[in-house]
Amino acid sequence: MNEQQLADLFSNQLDQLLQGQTPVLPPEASDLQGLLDFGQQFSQVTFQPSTAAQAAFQGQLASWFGPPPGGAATILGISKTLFFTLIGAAILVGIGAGLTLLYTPSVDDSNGLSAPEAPALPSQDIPESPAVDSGSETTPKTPDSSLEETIPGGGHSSVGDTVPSSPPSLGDTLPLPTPTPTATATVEVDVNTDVGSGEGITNDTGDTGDTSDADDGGTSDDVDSTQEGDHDKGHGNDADGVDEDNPGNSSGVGGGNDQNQGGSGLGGLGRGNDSGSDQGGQGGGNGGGKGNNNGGGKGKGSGGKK
Amino acid sequence: MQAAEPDKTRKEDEEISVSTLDFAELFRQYYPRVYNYLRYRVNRPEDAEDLIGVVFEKAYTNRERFDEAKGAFSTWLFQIAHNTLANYYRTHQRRSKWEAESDLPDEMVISEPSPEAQVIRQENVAQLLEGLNKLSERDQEIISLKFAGHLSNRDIGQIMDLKEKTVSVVLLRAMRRLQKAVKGSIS
Repeated sequence: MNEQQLADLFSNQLDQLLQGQTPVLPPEASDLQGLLDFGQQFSQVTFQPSTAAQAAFQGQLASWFGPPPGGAATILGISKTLFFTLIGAAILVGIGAGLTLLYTPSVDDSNGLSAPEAPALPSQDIPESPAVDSGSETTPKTPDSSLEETIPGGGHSSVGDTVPSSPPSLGDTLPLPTPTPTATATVEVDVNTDVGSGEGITNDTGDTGDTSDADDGGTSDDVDSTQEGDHDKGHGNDADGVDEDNPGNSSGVGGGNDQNQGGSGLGGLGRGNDSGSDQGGQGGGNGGGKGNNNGGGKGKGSGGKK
Repeated sequence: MQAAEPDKTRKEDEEISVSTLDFAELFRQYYPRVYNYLRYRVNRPEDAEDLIGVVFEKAYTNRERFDEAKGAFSTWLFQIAHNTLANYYRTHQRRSKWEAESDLPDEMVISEPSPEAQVIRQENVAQLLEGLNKLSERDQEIISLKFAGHLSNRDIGQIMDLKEKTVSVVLLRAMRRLQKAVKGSIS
């Protein structure tokens, strides 16, 4: 074999060696074996860059090309798809739980199981409050406050059903004489007595435009979570026509069609699906007028009662 | 005409995106081999780390010049490394001898199990590298590209502007000289 042939053979065997294979030399090239062994030693000399250098290189790559695909596909160690799926599932569960909680109190309330921390109001304090749905957890529980007992028609209250028969008045509902001075108690009572059709009114009985409203389906689950009193809010359906908190000046939103007494609530922004703040019916209070219900609630506001 | 513009732009974006991803992956893939090659050729690891930064920056800057039809990516990348190393030697003094085995860098990968075997291995490696340092520039380059870069003779020929057959012969001779140099250093 001439040198070129030996060189080609050596290169081929060396390539096999570098690929991890075992080179097999023909007998006529046995003198290359020593050289291959020497090359095998040399092939094992491998250097690695320092950790800092590797990190710098990765950072450089990230600045050039963005994060690596594998890294971008994971969030908190899980894949992006799974992460967002979990988020979506959590949101759905949360919504479901919220709806469940929203509807549960009315059922419990009909059984008299809710509102455990309500102050024990004397039944004579609110003897004639007909439109009060006690379906709120924060609603003070009164012995006669169940919808079935007070509203003719099996709980599907409407303004026509409830208000004319016994229009609620401030004196009827506000538990001012109650011996519970805490703010919480005041709030709860205030919420409880709000009968307006404005949005965000607990126990809204005047808004017929919303399915979750007590007026519509008799399943008023509106829970007023507002921790403050219903001052000038939710008076769109103020039955007594008097804005107690801001007499004569209340021009709030909401209110609904207060056809009953006072409460010129511009509004009707009140969507009866108020699970929250009792801000719906700011308004009313100017007395007399019928509110324009722009929202879902075009129900006949029974007049938010303070 | 206007309706075709967004499609064209989108297609270009997709092509750029794919190209970008490919280069990033290729850079990651070849980083150890290029570093190993540079480390064969320079004595200090700090210099090798500086050089590899320069190499990949050049590669990134000139990535649009890479034509797959003209050659493999490995050839193109090692060509950049080869040229970078040549520039390095123009501005730096020729590297000194490989130090004694006690000064061997920690980044050297040795898969021997026992500490004694590692010491022996380090001694052998030090002798190998010292023998390499005694060779000509071309012999060093061919051996480094072959053993550190794991390139084929064809790729080495493209980088060094040599024929593939010539590379085989030069490599064989270089290995013989290296073996002799190592034996001489041992004796």
